[in-house]
Amino acid sequence: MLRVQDGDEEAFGELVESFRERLIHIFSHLVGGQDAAEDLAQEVFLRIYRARESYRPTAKFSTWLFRIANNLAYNARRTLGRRKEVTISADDSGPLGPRPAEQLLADQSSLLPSRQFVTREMRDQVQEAIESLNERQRLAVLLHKFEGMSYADIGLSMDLTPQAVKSLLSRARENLKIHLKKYVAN
Amino acid sequence: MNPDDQSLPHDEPLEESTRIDPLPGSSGDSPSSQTPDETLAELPARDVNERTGETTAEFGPGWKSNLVAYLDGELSEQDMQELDEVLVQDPSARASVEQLRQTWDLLDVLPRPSVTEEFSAQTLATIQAIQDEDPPAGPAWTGRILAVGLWIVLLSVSSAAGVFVADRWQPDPTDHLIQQLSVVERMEVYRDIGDVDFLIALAETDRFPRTDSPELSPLEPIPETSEGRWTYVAKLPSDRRRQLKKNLEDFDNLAGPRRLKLEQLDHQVTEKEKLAKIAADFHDWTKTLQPWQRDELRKQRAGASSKVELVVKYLDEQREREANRTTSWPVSFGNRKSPVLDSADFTKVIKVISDRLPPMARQQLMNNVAAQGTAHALRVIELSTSSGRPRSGDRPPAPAGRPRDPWPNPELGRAIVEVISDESVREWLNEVPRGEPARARLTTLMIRSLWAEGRRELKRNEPTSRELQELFVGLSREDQDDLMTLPTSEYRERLKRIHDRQTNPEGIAHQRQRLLRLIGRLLPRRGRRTGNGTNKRNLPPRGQRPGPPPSQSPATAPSGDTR
Repeated sequence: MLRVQDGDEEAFGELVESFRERLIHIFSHLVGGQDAAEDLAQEVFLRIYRARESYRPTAKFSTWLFRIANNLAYNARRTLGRRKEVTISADDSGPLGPRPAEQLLADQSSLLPSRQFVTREMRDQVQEAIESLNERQRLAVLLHKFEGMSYADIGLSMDLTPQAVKSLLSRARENLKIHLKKYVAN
Repeated sequence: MNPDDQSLPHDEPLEESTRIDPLPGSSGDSPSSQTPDETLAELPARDVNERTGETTAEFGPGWKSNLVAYLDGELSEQDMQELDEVLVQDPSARASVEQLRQTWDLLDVLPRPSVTEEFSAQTLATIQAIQDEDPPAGPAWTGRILAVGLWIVLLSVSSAAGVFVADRWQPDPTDHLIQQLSVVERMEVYRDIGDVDFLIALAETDRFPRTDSPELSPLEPIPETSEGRWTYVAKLPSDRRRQLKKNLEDFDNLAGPRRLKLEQLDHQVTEKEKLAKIAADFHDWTKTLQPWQRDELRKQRAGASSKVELVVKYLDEQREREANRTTSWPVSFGNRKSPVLDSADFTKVIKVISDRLPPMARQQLMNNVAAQGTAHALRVIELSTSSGRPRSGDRPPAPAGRPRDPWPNPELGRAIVEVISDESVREWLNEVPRGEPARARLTTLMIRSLWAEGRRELKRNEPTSRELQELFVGLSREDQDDLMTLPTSEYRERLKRIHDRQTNPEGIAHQRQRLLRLIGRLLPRRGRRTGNGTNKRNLPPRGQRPGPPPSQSPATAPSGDTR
């Protein structure tokens, strides 16, 4: 981002490449629909570019980026009247950039029996379980699960204290467990 | 103090706060409260209480968040150790942790959306437009200029050095790009064309329409010298450079003979401006095709003439669709087989009508010299159709109930038919069934042609991507936000419409009401209720030859327009 501040266009291109898929993934679960997710992701990049002069590296760049994403998603949901449109591609992960803990998670999950017998029904159930969470819980789960963000970083992105994030994630995971209990071994 | 209270965020919204996980036995509408026996906290809390005698407050529902935080590695060292001890001693607590972990792992099955190819390019192009609109001031801007200057200087120096070194050492990948720049930069164009034989065959046929507009440069010229090419590449935006790199990879992956064909094609296109123009025209046209049609054309290997035939076939299909679309807006006017005039004939016809306007109408037309294209054509037809109306002082007043004089009058009708060069249109006008006024076909032809010309005009005035970006940047924040909510394809179409409305507000595409009024004025007499009670419902069914209308005599039709 500091290179972008210095007018390095290549750096901004790299930044878009690194975060586009991650942002679209998050948005697709927050607002539903690939097109809406892409539009919002594009708006995030536009806002970042517009605000590049005022960026100060006091926190991680990703924290700042997801904070903007959080605000945009909130506005979008308000505009769309919380319309839920779920159009999710069945494709698996594309060529992602480096993502914290993702490889580890992928390795771990590939060993799970649940991973080996993923059915469409299960996928739909997990999707439903995610959608059953309220917006804050959902975002916290997505940031923690797929971005590997710490409670402190999630708190900065969502304007919450780490304690609040801890509570939020605890409830979210309890709700998920209830929704998905048939796939979880007793 | 209850640890759970500590874990509750003071800035949590009410909605979240009201969903505090219930204590065992408490009531609530939280999902967890519906199955209190299964709540995570209950088992370890009860067991620990029995074993250690600790109060419920200490091992109450706060353990839930502690268990999750334990899994997430977010507990303090002390809390972690305490919980480790509990888990060692309590199998049910371990089971709870395992369930939470499995639930978390299940989220891995969530699909990840694929990102469209255009996303990055579009984002960066929009950024580029913003950057052009609002260049950063001060040191950053100066720094950028210096950086670009330095970059160009470095490239020039390195390319000069490369001239001496390249022949003696292993070829550098970047040198390879510079060498192949022409063919690689035009890769998209050449992919559609395939080989030079097809391009020559296309140039020789008169069945493929050309755009002879001098403003349109055929293909972007590629510098011949190595230095020029370095500078050319250096000036490209980053997304174009990435595309260039990808094109080079694609080119290198082609089989040898195929590469050779593209190089020959590039050589001919570079040498002959006529071929460059037809290449650009063809490439622009392929963008209007369906993806599968474009694919079919690219795969066509049966020879140049077969490929030209396929092009003509797709062109015919497009024209047919175009004609059908012409009737579908704003009202179905004429039938699907009714022809439309091409641009050249349409211009001639409008001139004929304009030349025959009464002096006052002609003066009105001259007062509005700004109107061009379909705006001008619409005005001419409006004035011409209005001037046929009986006016006081011009001639004796029409009897009550008598409709105005039909348009066009016989003399104008003959003049219009005479300037139409398209034989098929003339034949269509002349195959009028006996008794049916040919002017009905003429008016149909004029309305359909006016709208068809409007569509062509829209296409001619189609803004470039850069113009669209500039337009977007100039819009209000609200309009930008509105556009950003649209899917990518709609977003672009909407921007094009805004652009056309701004640049050509009087064009036929934005004059729906005026066109409808014109249609109302020109509707064939037989479809309108007349004084003698005939109306559309009394007409014979479609396809059956109608008898002569009671209010018409064959003499009212322009001579030469009927058989």
